[in-house]
Amino acid sequence: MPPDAPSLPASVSVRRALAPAYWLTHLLMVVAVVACVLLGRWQLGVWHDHRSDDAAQVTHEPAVPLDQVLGPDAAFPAAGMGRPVVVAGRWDPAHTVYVADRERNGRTGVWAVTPVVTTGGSGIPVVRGWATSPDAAPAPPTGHASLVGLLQPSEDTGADDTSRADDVIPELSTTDLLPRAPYDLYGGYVVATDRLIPGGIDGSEPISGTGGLEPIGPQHLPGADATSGLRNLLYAFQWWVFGAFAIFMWWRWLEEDVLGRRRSPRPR
Amino acid sequence: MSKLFPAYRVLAIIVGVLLAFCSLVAMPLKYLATDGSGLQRFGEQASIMWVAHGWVFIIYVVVSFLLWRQTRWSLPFALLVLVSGLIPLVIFYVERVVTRRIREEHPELAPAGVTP
Repeated sequence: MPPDAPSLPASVSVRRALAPAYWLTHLLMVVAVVACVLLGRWQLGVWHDHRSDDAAQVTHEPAVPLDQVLGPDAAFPAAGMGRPVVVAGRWDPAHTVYVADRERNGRTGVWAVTPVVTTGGSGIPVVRGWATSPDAAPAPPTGHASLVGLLQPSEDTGADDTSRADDVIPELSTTDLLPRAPYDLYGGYVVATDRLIPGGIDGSEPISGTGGLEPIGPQHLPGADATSGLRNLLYAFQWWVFGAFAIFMWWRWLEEDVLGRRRSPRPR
Repeated sequence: MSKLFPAYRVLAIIVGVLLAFCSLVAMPLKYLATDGSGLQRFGEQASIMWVAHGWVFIIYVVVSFLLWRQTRWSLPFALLVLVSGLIPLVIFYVERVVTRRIREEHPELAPAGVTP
């Protein structure tokens, strides 16, 4: 192997590497690396979209009556997460509660929750929407309730309802709500939507109690299929590997061909 | 280093075949064949070969780069060799040019007994 050529002073190296003759190469190189990074990020975005589309798909299934998915005394079924269900019964405005510390678009407020007592006599908490504070929320609805909601499992973060006297609770947990309600509760809650009831009574407007509140989406969705959009994730990594290798090639080319600092071993 | 050149040729053929299959067979079927037809579905499923092309192409780029360091090709020619793995059918032509140049300029890289 021939000895390394004596290294040049740094200033000379820089001047030689930046000679106008190489400008086009440097420019090409920068464009190539930037393109690789952007293409990789684009594919990563496609991968994310695939996954959230997959997860959100359940919320677009046709709505079925609540009791077909979650019975009053049944455990929450895995397939029920995010399912649209038809909730019908009577509003119970007297037991309206507000779930504290709920973020929406970077602001902290509350969820307005009013139970609906179904024909079976059990109550299902309905999250009607988001407001900045309990005082800012409109009066809860009364009378007949009829809406499509997205089914969610009861929250159980372990937060304690320290002050039972007020109507503000730390989490939407069936266990916390049971002592407040004079009836049995379903083991979950629904997030109200303004969707029309499928095959509803003369296609009537839903009585969803969402008026005057900002809508919230489903909080829990089933995990996406692990392979969903995997190809796009692999593409993303491919682009970044290209970008990294392009930088490596550029550097070796500069060192060996432009600065003559190091020579690859010649084959014998 | 004598394995570099045969490795380059094998990789160039694989990349070329994968690229031609993906871009000239799978892609037209996926987008042009009647929706839901057997051919269209085949095109869609076969598109997974793009991933294979991508990773084999990465190896191709590394091997081509090492070959370039040995041969000291000019930068434009080296870039042509690298990029040709992305343009359908061009790589077959480039592979022939590379083979000819290696045989003429760097016979020490081309082991004897390899069929032309």
